Amino acid sequence: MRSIIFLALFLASCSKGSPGVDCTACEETDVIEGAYMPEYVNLELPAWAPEPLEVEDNPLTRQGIALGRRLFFDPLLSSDGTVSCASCHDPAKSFTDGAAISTGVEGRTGTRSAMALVNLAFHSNGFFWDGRSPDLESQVLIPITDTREMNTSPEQVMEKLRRHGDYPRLFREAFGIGRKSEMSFEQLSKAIAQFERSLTSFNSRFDRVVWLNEGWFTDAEERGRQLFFIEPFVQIDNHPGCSHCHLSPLFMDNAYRNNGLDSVGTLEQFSDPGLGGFNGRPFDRGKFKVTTLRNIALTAPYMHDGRFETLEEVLDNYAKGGHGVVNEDANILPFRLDEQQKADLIAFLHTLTDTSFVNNPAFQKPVP
Amino acid sequence: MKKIFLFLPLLWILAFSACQQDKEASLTDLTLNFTADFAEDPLVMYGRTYAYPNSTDFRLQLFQFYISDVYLIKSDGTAGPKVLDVALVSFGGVQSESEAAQGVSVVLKDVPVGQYSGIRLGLGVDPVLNKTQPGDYRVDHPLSTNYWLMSNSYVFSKIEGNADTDGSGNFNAEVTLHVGGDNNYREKTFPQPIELRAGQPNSLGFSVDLRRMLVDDTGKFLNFAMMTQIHSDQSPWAVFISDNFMEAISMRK
Repeated sequence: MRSIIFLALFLASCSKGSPGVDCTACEETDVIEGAYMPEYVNLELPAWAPEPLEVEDNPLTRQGIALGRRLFFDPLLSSDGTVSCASCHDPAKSFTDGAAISTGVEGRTGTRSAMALVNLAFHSNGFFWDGRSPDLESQVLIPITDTREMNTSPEQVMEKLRRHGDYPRLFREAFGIGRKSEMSFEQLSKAIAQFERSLTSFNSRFDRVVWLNEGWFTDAEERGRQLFFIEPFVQIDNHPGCSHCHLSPLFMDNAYRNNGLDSVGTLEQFSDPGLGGFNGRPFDRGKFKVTTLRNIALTAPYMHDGRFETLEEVLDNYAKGGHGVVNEDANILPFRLDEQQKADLIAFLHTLTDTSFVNNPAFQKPVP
Repeated sequence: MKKIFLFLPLLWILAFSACQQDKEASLTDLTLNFTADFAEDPLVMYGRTYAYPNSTDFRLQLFQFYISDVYLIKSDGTAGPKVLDVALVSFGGVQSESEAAQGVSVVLKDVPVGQYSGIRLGLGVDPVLNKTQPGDYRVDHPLSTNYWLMSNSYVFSKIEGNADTDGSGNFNAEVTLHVGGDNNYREKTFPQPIELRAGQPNSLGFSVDLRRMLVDDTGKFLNFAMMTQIHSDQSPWAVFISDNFMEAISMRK
């Protein structure tokens, strides 16, 4: 019996080892003191929310989210210490930046607008406007290394974090490492992904009225809701068809579409090829990720390049029905709404604003 | 006594292992492979033009449908094991003829091996599942999307594309045919001997002729010059498409 216990202890000790680190070479100062007691957490979601994707190798912990939050707001992640994730993803703007094109280090500009970070736990078909990252963990690398954004490297970031007064302890609390040399960019990515995954929003007026039967829509909002969702029995010309792509409850469909923004003669002529530029498929050129309409009133300007300042401009553009480009989504149809109907539809879109989300203390810049 | 305690876990492991082997011997994987055509031509999104009645040309952007409540049929004709709750079969990503030939596959795990006389597919979302909502599912589940909040139904099938109705060469008519609602759910049994064996690939092939979904055997067809949108459960044309689906889908030999 004693031998079984020894065997169990031996196996347990094997499973605790930190891969890839030769600790005989570690200096004494490399050791990180402190507790490692991860507290596993589940996202608190209402009954009408879908179940989020499981990420088996990156379960949510209170410590992991806390580390991710600290990193998210820390400009240390950029080459010159001026740009953090939050620079382009401000909680008050539903984690956008209010700019058509986002600005990185030294005032450098990219080509696209910062995407809202809302309900990312429900994105099952890639991240970014062009879907280039399959998951949140791999997404983290791109803005950090993009020369127009944070312009640094995983090695440089990790070197700064290892020398930092707080981060070694926070990494230990989140991932149980015992030495600074064990801190890794993979852990950083996992922590930021955990924080981003925790950014859920299901407490708008729409949610409370429709799902909780709390209160009522105003007359304008109700008319707007019907315009948004209505699927007419007969063909009509005041059918915007918003809900074909912006389906409840997420108000997005995890798809990539050409939503009729640009008139081009051939698909090669798209100035930004979007999904097709990433996957190389010709008929995917000019397609971009369908964004959620949750908190849409807070995320102007709109579209991948921020070309529209207001929701009114967005509606007016959709009403034109696109340009007839070969891969333009067939749901982009011209429609006619009078001024009252447009105001109604926009009133409804405002019911998707979740102020408890943007003001959530857990989503704000932490006090170190 | 100590030795008995030491051997008990070993016996349990051996017994569990034997049971597992029995289970593996009695279960297998089954692939349902779907291909789609437009009459005689393989169905390819965007890149091909298809001839349609009334001198109309038609290009596709999306063709998808749900199958649900899939049962194997026993030799006595009664329903055997249920092998699938629901799956979304989407040809939206088919952009070449090679992809069209490859088709769209639904892989079913742990299907009981044996001899069957056929298979039954629900075309659409069966009424029990159609009472559920996206919030009941994980976000990568097929029923986490394609839901009509105002009609309390999933959209069973979508046919989307563009039509040239006047011979101008301009595909100006955007066609979006969305069908849902319990009244449009159909079931079809394919009577064909099926033998599922353990330890080897098992596959059943189905073909869907999209043209046949839009044109019935009397020649009646959905005229894109008159109507390009169906977003309804009650429209007679939604019922027309659902009825035609029964004839449009066949089992490949």
